[in-house]
Amino acid sequence: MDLVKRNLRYWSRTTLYNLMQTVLVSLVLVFFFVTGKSDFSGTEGILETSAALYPYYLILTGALVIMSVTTAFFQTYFFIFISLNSSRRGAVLGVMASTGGVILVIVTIGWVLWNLVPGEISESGRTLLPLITGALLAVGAAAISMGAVNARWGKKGVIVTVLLSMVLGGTLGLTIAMGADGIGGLLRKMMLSFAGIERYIVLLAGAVLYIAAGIFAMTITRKLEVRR
Amino acid sequence: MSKLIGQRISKVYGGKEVLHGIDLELESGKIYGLIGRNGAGKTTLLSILTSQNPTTGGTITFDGEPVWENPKALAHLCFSRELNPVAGSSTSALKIKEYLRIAATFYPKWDKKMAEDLMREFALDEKKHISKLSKGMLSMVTIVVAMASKAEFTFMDEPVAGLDVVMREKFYQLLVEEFTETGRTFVISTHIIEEAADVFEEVIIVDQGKILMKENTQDLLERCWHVSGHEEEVDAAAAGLERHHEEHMGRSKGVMVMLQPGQKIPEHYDITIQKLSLQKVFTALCGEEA
Repeated sequence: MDLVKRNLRYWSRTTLYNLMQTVLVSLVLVFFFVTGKSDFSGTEGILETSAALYPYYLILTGALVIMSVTTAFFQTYFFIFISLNSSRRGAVLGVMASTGGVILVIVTIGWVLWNLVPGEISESGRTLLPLITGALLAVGAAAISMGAVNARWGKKGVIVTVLLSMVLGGTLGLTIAMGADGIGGLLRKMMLSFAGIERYIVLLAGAVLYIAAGIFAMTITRKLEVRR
Repeated sequence: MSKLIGQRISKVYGGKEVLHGIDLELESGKIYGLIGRNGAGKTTLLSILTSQNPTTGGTITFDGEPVWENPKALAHLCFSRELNPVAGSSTSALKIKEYLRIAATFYPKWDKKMAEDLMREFALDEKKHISKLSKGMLSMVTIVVAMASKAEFTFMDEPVAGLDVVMREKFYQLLVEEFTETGRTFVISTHIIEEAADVFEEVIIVDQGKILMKENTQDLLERCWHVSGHEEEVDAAAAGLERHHEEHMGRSKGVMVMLQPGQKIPEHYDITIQKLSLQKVFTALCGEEA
């Protein structure tokens, strides 16, 4: 069995662990949302609303888990993998496969729930699914790139990624705040803007970014040294 | 017979060359001792031989195949490096259990039972964080990884550092047993030369980024002698011989002579000739600028 396959074996276990984390945290979030909201007098009841909303929480939690786990991998595990005989390329492919696996499962859960549960929330979810997949792939790409930069340039890399995260986070927060309607309002606006072919362009762009990030990570870590 | 060959290996860190065109050939079925002073380049050399660090120049091949990023060649190698418990280092956050799980994933011949047996023998708690381990315990973990990897060529960097004398004896016993049973090649880097000298079939001395010597340990010890006596007598007896590490005490003098094939120390001088330990030979060869 070559090193890439052994990498994948390790990563399938890690992926499962990360997925469990994501699912559990998102379940807690949706529970708090549902218990905090008393008015379910619309056409959908509490169960339908929760089921239709759950994928959104799953996606948000998934994005956070992907970001933190992937960057932490490059910071810590990457060097251990190499010191324990993994190839650098194999380790990057492993983290790409794992992050891709997490995205795939999240999107699949969303697709299943939004197709099972009727209503407006599910309909918007179904419409936005390609866009969401593209966005998650872009988050994965950012995490892989930032992680690799951290691993390659150490403290300088961390400073760059923290600054970048601050700018990205600030921009996103500002966009939501300026929308005045919160995330719900943003979603509605996005639905109007991305109802057509644009969704698939975002999906394709996400996929291209993801592969490009992998190639970038392999390139900058190809001669990485094991530090003590 | 498998061979790991390094040719013209050089390494530059921050503009300073730390390894200078090293040529090294390691054969299977031997225990090599890698000795050198602090900063001589031992760890760098081991890291490069096992693809953990890239070379600046030169090549490393295992049975003719390049080692760098080559899973096929890497499957035969293991460099169980010293663990760093300092917070912020890559390994410090891990538990022993997790570290061993990663090792088990990447070493194709990983012996799970051996790892478990050694963990028990060393009384290591697999749930402990690496950052919480003592120096001796850290060494034990590296020994577990090295032994259980079952890699054909296994490299260990200071495996006995921090171990008490009982554990060190246990390690040498384990090493010899494993070697006898499997014929694996071990390259052991150590500063505790005297204890390990008996188990080294060959000794590789690294000094200032160069291989000073690679020789059968017994052959080396049989041609190195300490000659002492009156300065004039010693000079006369050692004339024409390779001399190292001269020491003066008043009008007396001591020197290590290294004989070449066919050479002998003349016996008719009023001098004392003594055998030297590997540590003394090493000190004589590498300690002159100290």
